[in-house]
Amino acid sequence: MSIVVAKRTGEGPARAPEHRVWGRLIKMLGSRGWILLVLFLLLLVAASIVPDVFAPHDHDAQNLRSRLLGPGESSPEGLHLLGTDTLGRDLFSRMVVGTRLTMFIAVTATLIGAGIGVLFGLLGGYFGGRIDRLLMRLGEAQTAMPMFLVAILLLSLLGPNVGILLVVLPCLVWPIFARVVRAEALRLREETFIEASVATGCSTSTILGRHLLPNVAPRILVLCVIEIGHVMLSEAGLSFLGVGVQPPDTTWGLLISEGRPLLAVAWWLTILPGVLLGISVLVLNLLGRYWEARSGAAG
Amino acid sequence: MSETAVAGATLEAGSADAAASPRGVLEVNDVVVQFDTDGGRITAVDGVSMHLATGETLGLVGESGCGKSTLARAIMQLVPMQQGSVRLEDTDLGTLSRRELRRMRHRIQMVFQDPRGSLDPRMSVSSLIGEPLRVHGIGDRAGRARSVAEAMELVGLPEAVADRLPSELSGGQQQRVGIARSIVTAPAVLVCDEPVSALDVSIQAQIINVLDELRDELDLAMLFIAHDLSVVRHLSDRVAVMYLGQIVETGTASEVFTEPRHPYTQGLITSVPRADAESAARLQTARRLVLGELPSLLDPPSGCRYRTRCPYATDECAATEPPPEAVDHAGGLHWVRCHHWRGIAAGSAPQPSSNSQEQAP
Repeated sequence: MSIVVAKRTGEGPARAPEHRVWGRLIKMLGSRGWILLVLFLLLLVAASIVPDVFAPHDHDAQNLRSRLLGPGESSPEGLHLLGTDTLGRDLFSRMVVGTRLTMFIAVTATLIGAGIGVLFGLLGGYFGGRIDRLLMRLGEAQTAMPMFLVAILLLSLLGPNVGILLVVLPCLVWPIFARVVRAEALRLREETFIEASVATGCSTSTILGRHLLPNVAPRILVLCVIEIGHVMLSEAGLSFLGVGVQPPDTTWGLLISEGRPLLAVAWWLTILPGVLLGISVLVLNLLGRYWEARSGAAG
Repeated sequence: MSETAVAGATLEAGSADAAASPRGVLEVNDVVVQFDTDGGRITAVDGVSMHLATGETLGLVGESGCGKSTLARAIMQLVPMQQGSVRLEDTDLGTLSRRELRRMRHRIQMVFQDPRGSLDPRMSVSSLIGEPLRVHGIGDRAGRARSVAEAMELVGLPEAVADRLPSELSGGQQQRVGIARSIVTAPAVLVCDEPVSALDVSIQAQIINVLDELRDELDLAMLFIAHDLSVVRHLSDRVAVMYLGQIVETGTASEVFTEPRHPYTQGLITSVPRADAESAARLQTARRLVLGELPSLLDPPSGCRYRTRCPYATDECAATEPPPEAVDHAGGLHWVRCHHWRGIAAGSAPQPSSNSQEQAP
């Protein structure tokens, strides 16, 4: 009995402890807390659109006399809120400027992955049978493949290139979208309204696009928000390994990577971009799960 | 299986002689639908034939699980048929390609049992009703909007609900949307699969009246499926009684309701509760006429399908399947599938055997 109930609500005693932590965090947010999360995201978006408004200094201006200033110290140019790096560049400004590429890569890669995953999930879930098995095996093979190694392989073949990120990162997320959408499509195709649209005379593409897709869209959106966070993290990892974004472009991941050799003398160069990255991923996750929990009852 | 199917082919609902009768807008011939289940292969519809003329309503009755809905889905080509044909306006739907079939669908539409479930929860009332027009490319944008407004008026939906979602409507309104969607393309045939079973009794009458008016106004041929006999009686010109995948009796509504010949039909009719003095006695009779539960489709009885529940059952019933026989009176539309119907009618039927004699309170 409990299995049946768990199946229907998607909740249940068997869920991993990880989910309880999220549940508690979401509860802590209360009914208005999500506004804070959205504000934070809006800040990030604003910083990527108009970084100059937020950055107090030119992010590329070097000043060797004010190298490795700690957070809060000042140079002749003014206050360096989060300190400076080995070339005397203002860390806060660099983080602000790095937001654009970080967000761009994360959002683009997630959207590409979502596109592939949604298409495959809809086709597999609606048609079932051989198509379904093929697509899902493909997803599993993809998941089993160590994408970081593939990325490094591509790097050695093609040289450093942001394009590699837009190939590798979507590969990491599409199977997740495919699984969720497939499960929804499997459930929905048994609904009478799908049968009714067949009886009405809808073509398969109409059924997939006009009936199935809008009914899974809320879940896709929630998943997108969560996955953008994960992709950010992966991009940071790849940039850290030197596969991703190359200087003079910068992302948070690259900042972390650049600061690493100096961890002992200038901790802020690694820790502070790391904290920003961590908070962003957490916020995206919380927001996604919050919406998911809110809309859960309404389907 | 195949012998029963062939036998079934000759029992055509409402028609003594298919060749002699004017061709119907819908002709269903010897349809067999089978499903593979975990327990084995079941035959949900076993050689059913029927025809429908324009402006005519055929009521299909039978208890839950007898294959009524499966038959409706087979006619709509929503489930595959193992045998038989469905002809709509002289086109054999089974021979069409998927695309051709899709293009034909605006001529035959369906109203579903679950009004809410049959409507896409994310579409507004007006786009739901307009969808058949859109997918069949009927009319331009303005024309479609007019048709939708007309259909809404025909089924009695206020203009104000046009932009609402199905979840914001009452059950009766939801079913009106379902009906509006099914008639907006002006189909020749409307298949109604228990359209009022999920509704409150007070709403049922309204929906029945809507369907009644639509049939006359749009000259629809209507297949009306229900397990509620009073509903069928009100609406139908002819009636077919289905039992375990087969039609056991068919005729005009008045013939079947006033002179039911098959013991199952007699049982169904007498089991309708009535508020009168005879009521208790009638129900007592009904209890004798329909014994126990519907047998499993996985293992249907030999010979006559109904014999396991029939008080008149004899060895003959177990040995051979009764062929459909015409009940000889005026119209010649009345057919029954029972070895003993003459005897039962004359009161000289074999006495109910002792083990089936009811231990009624």
